[in-house]
Amino acid sequence: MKKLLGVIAMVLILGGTALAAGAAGYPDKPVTLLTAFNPGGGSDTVHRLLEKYAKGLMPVPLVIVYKAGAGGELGWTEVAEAKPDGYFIAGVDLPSINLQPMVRKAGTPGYRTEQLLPIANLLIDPNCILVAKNSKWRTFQEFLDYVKKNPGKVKAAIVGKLSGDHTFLLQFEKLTGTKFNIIPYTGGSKVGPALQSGEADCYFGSLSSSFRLENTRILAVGTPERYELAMDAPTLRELGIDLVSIKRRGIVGPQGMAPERVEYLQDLIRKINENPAYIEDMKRIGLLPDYQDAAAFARIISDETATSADILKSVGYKK
Amino acid sequence: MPFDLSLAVAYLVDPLHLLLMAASVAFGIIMGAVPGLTSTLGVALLLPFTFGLDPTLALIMLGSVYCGGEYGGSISAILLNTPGTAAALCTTFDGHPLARQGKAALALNASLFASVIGGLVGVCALFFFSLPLAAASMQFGACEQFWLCVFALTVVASLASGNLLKGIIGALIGLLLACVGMDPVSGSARLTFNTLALAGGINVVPTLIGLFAIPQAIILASSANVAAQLAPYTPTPGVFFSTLRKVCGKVKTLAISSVVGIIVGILPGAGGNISSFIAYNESRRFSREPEKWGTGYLEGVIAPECSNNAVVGGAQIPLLTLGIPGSAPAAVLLGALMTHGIKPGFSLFTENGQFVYTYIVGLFVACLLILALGSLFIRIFAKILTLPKIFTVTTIFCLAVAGSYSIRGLSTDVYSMLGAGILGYGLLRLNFNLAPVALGLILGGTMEEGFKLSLLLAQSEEHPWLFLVSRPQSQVLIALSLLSVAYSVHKERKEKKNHARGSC
Repeated sequence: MKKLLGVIAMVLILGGTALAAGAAGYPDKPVTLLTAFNPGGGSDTVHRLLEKYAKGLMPVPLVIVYKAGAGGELGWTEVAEAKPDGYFIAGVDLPSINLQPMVRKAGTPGYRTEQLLPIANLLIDPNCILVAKNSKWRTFQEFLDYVKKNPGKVKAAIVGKLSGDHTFLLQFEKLTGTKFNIIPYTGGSKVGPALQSGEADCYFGSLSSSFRLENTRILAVGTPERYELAMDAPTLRELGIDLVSIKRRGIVGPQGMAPERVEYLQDLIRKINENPAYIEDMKRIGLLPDYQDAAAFARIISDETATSADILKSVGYKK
Repeated sequence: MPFDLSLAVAYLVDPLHLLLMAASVAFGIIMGAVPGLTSTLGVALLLPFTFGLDPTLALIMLGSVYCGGEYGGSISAILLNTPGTAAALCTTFDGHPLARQGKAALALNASLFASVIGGLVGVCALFFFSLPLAAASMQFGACEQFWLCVFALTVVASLASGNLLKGIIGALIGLLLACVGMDPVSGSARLTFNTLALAGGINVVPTLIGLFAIPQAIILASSANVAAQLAPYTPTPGVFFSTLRKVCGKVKTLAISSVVGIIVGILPGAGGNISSFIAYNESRRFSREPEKWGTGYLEGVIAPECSNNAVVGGAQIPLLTLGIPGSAPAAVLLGALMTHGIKPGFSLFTENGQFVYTYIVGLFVACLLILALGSLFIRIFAKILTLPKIFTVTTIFCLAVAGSYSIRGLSTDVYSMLGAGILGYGLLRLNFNLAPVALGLILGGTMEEGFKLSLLLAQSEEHPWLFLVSRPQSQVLIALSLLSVAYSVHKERKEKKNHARGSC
């Protein structure tokens, strides 16, 4: 009996080492990181920084491929259906990956949020209310008073219909009892001229945009506390509006990836986040690194799924 | 301005810097010349390699790729009737007929000189008039985006050359194709047949490749002697300088085209693809021999090429002064500026003048490098014409498939290229001109977006119904469009009368 136990133990140990050796063999070929947007866009810039700082931390290179289209939906469907061998991962945006499957027309194919396996969160990009520097509203209060007096008249720019910008604006309308004339532009680069020329009166969306645009002012930020990259701007909470609205970007793979491979990639991103030069580069483009491991990122996604569903329901976009 | 020209020149003539710039220009020309690879992609691909470099050099290299790419598109347009980029589409109208007549060297050199001249004029505008022009560009909103497209669409009347009805049908086919996919403003899916593949819309570049390259390949392959060469090509000594003299003599065309290029470049959202159409049309209108355009007329090559290179300088005016990219490659340049920690804006010119002016002078040098490298490339690429047709046909097919796939890595794009090819061949057999189809396809998305945003914006106005026609900027464009149509109709009538008299 003892002998048998010994043999079993031996087998287990050997098996264990063999498994460990197998895990150590990963990655033995380049890992593909899919960008679901065009080269040179906001997501690409972040992925290029990952590529740059992953060098030396991983025996193989990170290779970036682009599958742009339909606001990220084409690329994310591709990763959801990819072989879960750990060699094909993608960058995703929150809340987009929650919103898209919810608002998709019935019968249209496409990924479901739960098909995406969270690996790590990379960064946060809070939503904010932005106006041109020469705007007639000096403070948030002036802005709010005006909007309340002129319902449906103030032109609010957002990027993309039923996007993270849009749900932020819808939440704001609901909490403050206001009504805007919503203008969904097709890209962040179109919002700049609109604000400058007065075509749009304000922008509800990512704070990182204010880093690209000269002559803009932040009226309020959707973080719970003052935001490190915009310390001068008050938070919505300070202003008496209980609204926290933050976009996130992270990395996912297809469901079914081996846990040790998920862990490997998660640790890689953690190590990249320990590099001060990386943090510096990210802040320079207006994004705040916020490393969260796979489990924490999964929790964030599922919490936000509920929030997004509530918002859509409350404004009648979802049954 | 806080800027020392001698320092900038010293920086640029450093052998290593010059070498890297030349390599970037060459890379750009190749990216432009291969159908499907665009200058946007070229700039994006080079971007990660510039991370470690000093920002000035990095930006100059990226700008060089942009300049090279805008020129490169004309090479395949002239030799293979396949536009390397959407902006080079108009170059096929006269460039390829010239090549078929055995005057490829003339067409290639003319396109080179026109590109360089257009590029230099654009960069000069960037150097001298950035600040005032940037302020003016802000007067251009969603309404004007719509009306500019309407103005560009009036080109159909002259492109259709004698068959207005077929021209309009062609443009409508193009506009219909542009509707496939998600509505740019409301996000609802249209004509997608419930497939995800079509939800992203029909991509313009592969469709253009299919529309022009595939019918060309089919016609070549079906001709009796497939072993014969595409066109006679005999490089004549002295063609370089004789062409230079010819191009420089076309002052009017060069002036019109470069001004059109700069203006369209400055306007956000409109790039070389729109400017080359307008430049072609306007230069033709003011030409003494408008009837010869489209048959291999030299100015038909000069106008679009001069214009799409002038866009390079124009598009960077709002980019550097306001952080607003005037074209797709300029948007990638904005990403590059940001990653190098440079925030564009008026303050860039006052506080960081040395950097920004060195960059602009660098673009100037890049244009001159195009002249040197281009004349070298022309000699190599022109050999394509002397190959047996069977090789050319195969090359066109391979490039069309590989180029379409490489844009987004989607097989849908290859299918839309093939579909467009079949459509294009069918339309050609029915004596349709394909240019209006392409024009509709290129303009459709931009035009619809401008229109729908205007409708939304109008809701905040006192008289929502008048919004689209109430702004003075819009009224100028409306007047231009009306004039353009009236002129074309008038000219067509006169020609018909002349015809009638001639046949009697």
